[in-house]
Amino acid sequence: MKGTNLGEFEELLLLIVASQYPEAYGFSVREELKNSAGRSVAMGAIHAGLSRLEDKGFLSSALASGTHERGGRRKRLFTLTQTGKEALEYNRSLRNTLWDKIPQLSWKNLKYVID
Amino acid sequence: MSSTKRPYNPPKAATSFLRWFCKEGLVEEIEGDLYEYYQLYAQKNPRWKANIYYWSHLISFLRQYSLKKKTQNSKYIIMFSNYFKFSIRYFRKHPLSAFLNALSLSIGIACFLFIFIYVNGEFSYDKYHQDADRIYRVVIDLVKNGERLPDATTPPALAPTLKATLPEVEEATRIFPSWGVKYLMGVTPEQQFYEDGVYRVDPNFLEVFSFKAIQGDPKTMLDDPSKVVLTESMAKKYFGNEDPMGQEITFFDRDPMNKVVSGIIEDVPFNSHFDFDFLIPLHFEDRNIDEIWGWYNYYTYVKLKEDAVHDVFEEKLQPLYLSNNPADTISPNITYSQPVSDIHLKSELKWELGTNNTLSNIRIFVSVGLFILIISLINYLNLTIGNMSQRVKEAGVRRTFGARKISLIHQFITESVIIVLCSIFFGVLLAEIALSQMELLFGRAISVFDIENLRALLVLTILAIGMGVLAGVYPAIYFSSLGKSENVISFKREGRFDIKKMLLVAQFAISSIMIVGTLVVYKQLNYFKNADMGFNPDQVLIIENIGSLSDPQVLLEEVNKLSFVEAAGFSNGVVGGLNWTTSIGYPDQFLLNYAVIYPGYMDVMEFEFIAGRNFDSAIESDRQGWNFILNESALAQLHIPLEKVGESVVVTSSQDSLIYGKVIGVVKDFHFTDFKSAIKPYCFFYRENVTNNLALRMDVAKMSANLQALEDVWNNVAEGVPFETYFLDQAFFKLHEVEERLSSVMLSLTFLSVFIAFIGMLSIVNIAVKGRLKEVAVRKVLGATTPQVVNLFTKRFLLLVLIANIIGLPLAYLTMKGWLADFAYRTTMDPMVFLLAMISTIGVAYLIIGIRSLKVANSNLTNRLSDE
Repeated sequence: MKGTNLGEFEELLLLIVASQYPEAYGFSVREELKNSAGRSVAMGAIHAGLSRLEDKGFLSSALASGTHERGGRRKRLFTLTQTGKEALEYNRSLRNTLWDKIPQLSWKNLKYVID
Repeated sequence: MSSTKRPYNPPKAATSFLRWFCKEGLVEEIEGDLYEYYQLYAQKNPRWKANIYYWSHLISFLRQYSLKKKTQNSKYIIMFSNYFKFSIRYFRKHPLSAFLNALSLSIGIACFLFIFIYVNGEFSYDKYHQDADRIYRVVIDLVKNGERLPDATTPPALAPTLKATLPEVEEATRIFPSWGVKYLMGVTPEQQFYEDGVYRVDPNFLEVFSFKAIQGDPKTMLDDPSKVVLTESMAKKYFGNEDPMGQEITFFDRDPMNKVVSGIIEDVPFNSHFDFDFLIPLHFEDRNIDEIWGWYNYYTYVKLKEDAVHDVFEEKLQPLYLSNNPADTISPNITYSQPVSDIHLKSELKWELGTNNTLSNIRIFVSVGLFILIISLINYLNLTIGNMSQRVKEAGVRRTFGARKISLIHQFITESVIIVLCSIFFGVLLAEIALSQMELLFGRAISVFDIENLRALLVLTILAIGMGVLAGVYPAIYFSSLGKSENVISFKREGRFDIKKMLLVAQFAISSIMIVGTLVVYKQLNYFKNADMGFNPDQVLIIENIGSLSDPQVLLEEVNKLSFVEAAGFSNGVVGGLNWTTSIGYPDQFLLNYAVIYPGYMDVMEFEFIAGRNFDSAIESDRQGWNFILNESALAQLHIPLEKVGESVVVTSSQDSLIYGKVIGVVKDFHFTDFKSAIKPYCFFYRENVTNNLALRMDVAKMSANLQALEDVWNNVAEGVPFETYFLDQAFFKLHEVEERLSSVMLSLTFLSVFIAFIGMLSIVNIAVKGRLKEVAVRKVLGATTPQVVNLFTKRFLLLVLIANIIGLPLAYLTMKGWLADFAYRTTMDPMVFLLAMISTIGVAYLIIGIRSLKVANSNLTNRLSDE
């Protein structure tokens, strides 16, 4: 499974692309990330991240025709690939397994850390 | 919604910047996303804010993912390596012109750097003190008989009074230097040295002036008469690696004093007008000098408060001085202050603490430096432009194959910048070598890479590269302005207005200015060397430290017994060195310089008597009162006619009573200071107890044997006091050290500038000759003689050099007239100087052109004609 490990930021990008199907592109991903996660990320970082995911095979992309909002420029639409889906599922199941292993007792007596 | 609205336009510059750096495949989508983003933001935010956001997002694309790959596939790299390759090929094909080009530019750069660094050092004097802008030296103009004699020394009471009465003064401090006296010092009897760098100072000296303390507390270092502060190198000299703090050091003054080392400070930097190794607190057992207004032998420095206005302080100075010197009210002396950082370059008072430079010398240095830089830059331009004729075909072919104007410009600029960069490299190297050789001359180690010089390096680099670009742009524009076919077919003949010729004229004008300048400086130095001094300083040996002997008379007797000693006599000062002054004259008083001597001294110095006689040890009265030998100036100022010599006359007055004296003899005026000052009144007194120097005129034939014999005599008498001597002519020459330095630097720089002009001329002639080879061949075939061919070239160029001289010589005359005006005794600028400059420039030019054209005229020119 080496090479398919997803970073937290990458996982967010994949999820957003999947949720926006079939209209996910740089700008829309950034807006979604800002609205749902409250994170304002530089456009360059988004583009670089998406392109990296495409290199890893988790995303595929194609140029779509431009719209008026973009001054007639074409945009690159991203879609999730099978490998991308598997990577997301692996992450999810890994998490679920770990969650299930947490003993109920540990949820009690939690301390607030005040600093 | 947004489709109905007019779109917002993102900043154009940003977009084109993006297009410039971004990979082509990515530009469109990124631009689109940014555009969309901008529409959204411009709606909600003010325009400038949206612009800033737009820019910042755009900048975020400056990452490897989206940047164009600058590899060998980039068209920029390809083109540049092409330019580079062609440049190198061109240099290889014309190694001589490339070499000369780089050489002359390197020399120019080296000279400029060298001079800039020297001048920078001169301007940095005394600026290292913290609050240097608030430190002033208070000085005085002694007024006698309506004449003002500027003097750096002031009464000892001045400083304490200033501090006590003027609210503007934060600190006032005094210095009493050793006045040329050497103190014998030592830690152990075996380790004793004579030291003259001893300053007696007020305890607050180190609070006014910043000298970094290495050991000890600067506030308390000088607060007790038993303390002494050493510089770092003195601490090394006397104590080696031991800890000097708290150790004792003995001063063998009249009575030996033991002082405790209380502090070590850094060595006095080169750019200080101070020069000391030891600081001792000012202290007199028996007198309170704080109330003495009658002595003028202390240096007074003040540090003003931070909020104080200097003008206000200055205005209060004179009234304060007058209120403390009521006796002076008739013709009061004038006190004023000078910023401490101005002293080195702007102050020329009597009794300066260090050897000061003058602004006019600095100006000469700066203009010489600039001149050489200009000459070499002109040379550079000239050579580059001159070589154009050989590049016409190349440029034409490039243009025909579709090269744009801009790529022609790039090609020439690349070439030009390569040469310039090489020249900067070698120029800096040369300057560094020159500076390391000059360490002795400047008295300090300097490097181009010292922090304070980096600015010069930067300015020069920018200047030179700018010049390189300029020199590249000119031919490029010239070529691209021609039609394409025109270039390939023929080279357009130049018109009457020719920038090359103008530059050549400028070069030779500067060269002849510099030749005149050097000749005048040399003439002045020679004038001084050969001038009738009024005495003969050659073969005069001065033996110092007579004051340390228990019985100097014995020494004099013994020395007189030596066969090679022609004459000997004690004196309390040396002509050309320091001397004492007193007031004299009736009814008007003036300042009289004087020396106390033994009769033999007059014979040693070979002063020329024009009336009266020398002192006679047999005549008791010669050793008393105002019985003296005068120089002509003093006699004139005293209004004593020559026939009254030997009779009792009124010489001065005290309160209301007249004082009588007798002029025993009169000597011809002699130069006892440098040639910048007019000869002042001087006189000699004869006293028994002169204890300073023994002057003797000796036969210099067997110098080392004679000196050995003298030392033996000394050792028999001196009880361990070191034997220290020097020759008077050497000491006297030191007075003109600055001019000597100037002339030697000027000479080498002039040589260089003529050399660069020579290179320039050589290359231009070379180009001219090459361009006219066919013409020469045809002329020869038609029967032209060799002289006619040579004439063809020389006529044109010699005219240029003549014009250069006509422009340059008047400028040189004006400049050097200003320089000479600083000297009271000066050489004349005779026409020979100008003639020589003219002849030498024309001669050099003629030589170059002649040789080059002769070679062409005598070569087999049929080859030329059968070419092509």
